[in-house]
Amino acid sequence: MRETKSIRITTEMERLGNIQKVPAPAALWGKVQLHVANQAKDVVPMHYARAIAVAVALLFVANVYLVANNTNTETQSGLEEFIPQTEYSFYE
Amino acid sequence: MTFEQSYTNYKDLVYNLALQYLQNTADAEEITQDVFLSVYQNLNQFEGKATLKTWIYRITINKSLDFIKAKSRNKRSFFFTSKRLDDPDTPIIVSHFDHPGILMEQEEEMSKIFACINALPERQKTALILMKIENKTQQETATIMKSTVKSVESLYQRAKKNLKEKLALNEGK
Repeated sequence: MRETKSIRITTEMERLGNIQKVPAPAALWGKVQLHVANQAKDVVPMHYARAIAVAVALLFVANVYLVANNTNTETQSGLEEFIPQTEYSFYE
Repeated sequence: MTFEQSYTNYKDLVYNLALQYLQNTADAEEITQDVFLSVYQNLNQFEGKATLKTWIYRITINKSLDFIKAKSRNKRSFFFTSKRLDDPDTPIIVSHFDHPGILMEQEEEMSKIFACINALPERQKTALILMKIENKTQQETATIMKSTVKSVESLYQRAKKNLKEKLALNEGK
């Protein structure tokens, strides 16, 4: 009984080696091409990405330049000064 | 090699390998499409034919295993369970058994064998599929699995032992 079971299992294992190879469906090439085309549509072209990167970098540089200049003007003109308050009486 | 040439050369390899993992034509077609999208995106990185073939084997295996995991995850989240995939009690969810490489009269028997193969740990399953079904040598299997011949041999022996146990358990039921 046990031997029969073992032989059966061995046969089942051998069957794995007899699985036939099948050709891929012919329609699959069309689907693959469509898949590739759809993916390519979603990807931002490299020159777009480069242009955006340059624009962001320019904005950053301009921002840094403006901030730096602004700070210099304020310190030179002395617009912000500390004025000591000596009068503390209100509503007289 | 152009994309079209690589598709012509390897389409059957990818489709059949995906079939051994998923046992469903629709799922195998989906994997084939995904694999060739990756081939399209990475083709310029491969100069030698051998490296491309090995890489195609690896990517097909990884995508098939990920597909099974994703399917099991979806099914589990539906039932609000938190079982782990390597839990031996977790049933492996496969779509309707539809393997065109198997003769009609053997379909019932083979679906039971594949149910047991699907319950094996991933690396044992891969070693068994590559060596027993795809007829790869130990060296080829080791290269595909980024492993050593010794380790592949050990994986294969364990896979065979586990499969026999699972089949015997099924017979007893």
